Amino acid sequence: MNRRPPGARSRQSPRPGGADAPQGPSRAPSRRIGVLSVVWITALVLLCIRMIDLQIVRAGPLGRLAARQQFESVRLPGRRGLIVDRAGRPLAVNVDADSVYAVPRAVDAPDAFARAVGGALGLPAREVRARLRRGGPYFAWLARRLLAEGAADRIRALHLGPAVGVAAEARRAYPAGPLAGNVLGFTGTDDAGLAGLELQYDPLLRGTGGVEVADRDAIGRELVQTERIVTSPRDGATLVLTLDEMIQHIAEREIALAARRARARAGLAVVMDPQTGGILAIAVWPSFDPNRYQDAPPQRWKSPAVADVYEPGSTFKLILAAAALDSGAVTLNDRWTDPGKIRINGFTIHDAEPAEHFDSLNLAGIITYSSNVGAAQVATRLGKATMEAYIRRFGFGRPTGIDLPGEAAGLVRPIAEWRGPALQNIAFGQGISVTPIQLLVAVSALATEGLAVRPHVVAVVRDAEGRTISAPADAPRHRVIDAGVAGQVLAMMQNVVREGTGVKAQVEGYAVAGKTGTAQRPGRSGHYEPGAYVASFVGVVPVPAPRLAVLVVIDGPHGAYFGGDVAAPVFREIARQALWYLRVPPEDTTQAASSPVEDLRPPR
Amino acid sequence: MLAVEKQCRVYPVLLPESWAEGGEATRRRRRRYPVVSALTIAAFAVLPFIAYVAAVSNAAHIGYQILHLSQDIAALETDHERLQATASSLKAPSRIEQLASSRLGLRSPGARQIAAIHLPRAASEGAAVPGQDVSRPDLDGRQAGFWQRLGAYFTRSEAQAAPAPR
Repeated sequence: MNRRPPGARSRQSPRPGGADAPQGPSRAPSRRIGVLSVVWITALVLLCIRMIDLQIVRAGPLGRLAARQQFESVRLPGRRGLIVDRAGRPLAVNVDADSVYAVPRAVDAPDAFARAVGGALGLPAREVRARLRRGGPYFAWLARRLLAEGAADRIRALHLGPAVGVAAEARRAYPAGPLAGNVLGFTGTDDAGLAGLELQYDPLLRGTGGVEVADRDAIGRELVQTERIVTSPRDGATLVLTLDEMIQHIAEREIALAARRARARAGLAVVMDPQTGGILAIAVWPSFDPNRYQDAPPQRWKSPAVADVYEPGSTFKLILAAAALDSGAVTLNDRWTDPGKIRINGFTIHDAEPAEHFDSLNLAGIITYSSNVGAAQVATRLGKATMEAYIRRFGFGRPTGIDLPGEAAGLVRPIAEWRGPALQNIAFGQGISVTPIQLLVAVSALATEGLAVRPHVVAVVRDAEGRTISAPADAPRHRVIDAGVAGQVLAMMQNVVREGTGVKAQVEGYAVAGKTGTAQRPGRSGHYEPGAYVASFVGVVPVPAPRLAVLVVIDGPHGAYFGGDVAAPVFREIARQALWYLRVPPEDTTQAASSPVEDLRPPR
Repeated sequence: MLAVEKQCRVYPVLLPESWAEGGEATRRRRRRYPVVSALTIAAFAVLPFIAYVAAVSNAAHIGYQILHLSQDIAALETDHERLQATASSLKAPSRIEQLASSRLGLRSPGARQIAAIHLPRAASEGAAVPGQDVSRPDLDGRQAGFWQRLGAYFTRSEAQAAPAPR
């Protein structure tokens, strides 16, 4: 202890706050600092203990909990590819539509909920209850991809809280409505193609979804800077069709008019580019709107141009003529007598109009006047084996390979089953079944120097970036018959339109070649239905370098039923308008330009 | 105090020169205001962390802006698709035909109501045909030579100066 005598002076004069200040007040801050340090260190130790507990001891479970709260895996949708016509006009697109879902566990009063929601959606309350039961306790779809405007707003206006919600889903839309519905087909609720091109090209059209992971903030917003794409989404490919929206419209309008006028069961028109096989239009009546495909019976969903077969009737005589000339069994100068009917193997074959008879007909005459008796005699000379070989060579009895689903092969019976007058019947297109597309391809070969094409609807497939990934249109043509023979048959077809049964198919200013067909319609029993016919016309225009090959089939017309009366005018109207649309100049423009207002048809 | 002095040795460069050199007055001042010294050192020590937090906060802010923009883009794309579908449906041939006949009283032209007119070769070559690309027309309908294209480059447009597609 440093004791100092009382009254003794220190060596230095005391200064307040100096180094020699009294010890009492200077110790107090030190003590406080010491206490503060202890408190601080204790707190730090406690924090360290807590940190070790959180970061090491309970790291696993807490990490998983945090990941569940913050880390989210997001599914990135791949959009379905578009379908456009050959000019790029959209035929099938995607639009967002509202879907309504419920959280059944959050529904307090199911009956009141069903009444309220059913009223907003236009559904019966029992249907809403059924849909609630169908889903699990946490999620149930009430309505998918609503078409009705304002339905989602009505649901929101109910203020039902978390019990019901509205989500946006991509929906397939067909902006042109029923146009080419049979070709385009449609998709189902889960965006899968169910018919037509949507089904045929579903793997290409369907996009592939991707996965992205990202953190979320406290209120659930995605933190963009933490985004990481695990799998990139891929949009579906775009189909560029050979179809032309305008020609399709022309064909649909004309076939519908003709079928209604004839009070027919059905009508069909196929327009094809004979040089490439590109289908420009497939018009079907009655058709359906793919936007509301559920409203139409399923029988209408298919494309009858490829899926249905029919007896071609006299249009098949063109195949007979080509086979007869190409095989050398018949020459252009050979002649036959047509007394109106003939008896073969105990059966009588007669012309469409039995009163009609010809003393002498060559092959061109048989085709021009559509003589069944003459065709039967030519077939007899040709023989079964040769006839069957040419039928197969023209592609009958097997699918053409067109890129539409459900293509039928047709029905060509084996020669062993050709009994009685089967050969002669086949010669004029009875006892054989073909698809419309088969007949059109076969006749097109006659107009393109004997070269057959592969029909196709899709010209180009492009990926989402617009790069061409395949071009189905580039299929090579193959020879069916000699080019000279094809030219001879084409000349016969021109005669048919110029002076034969197909005069109503004449298109002013253009050279048309074609053939009419009138076949009896087989019933369910296998026998022909009395009074039921299939009228058809197949032709190409303009000759000699055809741009269009058109087949028109009217099933079950009432009143006039000959192909030349019912189907040929439809061909004329389709060809006339399509040629003008394609800017194909007429051969004789002075003829077309004369009397510009002579033919004034009444407005439809 | 000891702790503070130790930190001073760790970060000598951060200290003002006069402090680092350490005169008697400086040492005295340091002893006299230890809290100020500690706070200054702490501020310098914390500065990088503050900068880091500011950068992260800024990134988050920009991220939210990107998120908003992405949502706007998605909404606009949805609108675009809907408008595209609407436009296509409005341009459907059947609808236009129906409107033309019902509102305007138009009707389909008959076979003799359309006339084909013979045009000079040059004019017909440049005529628009469905499916034909007319985006690069020749000069005056003829095949343009080099000097013509060069002239066109300066006087007209680059598109016309390009060689005609074969």
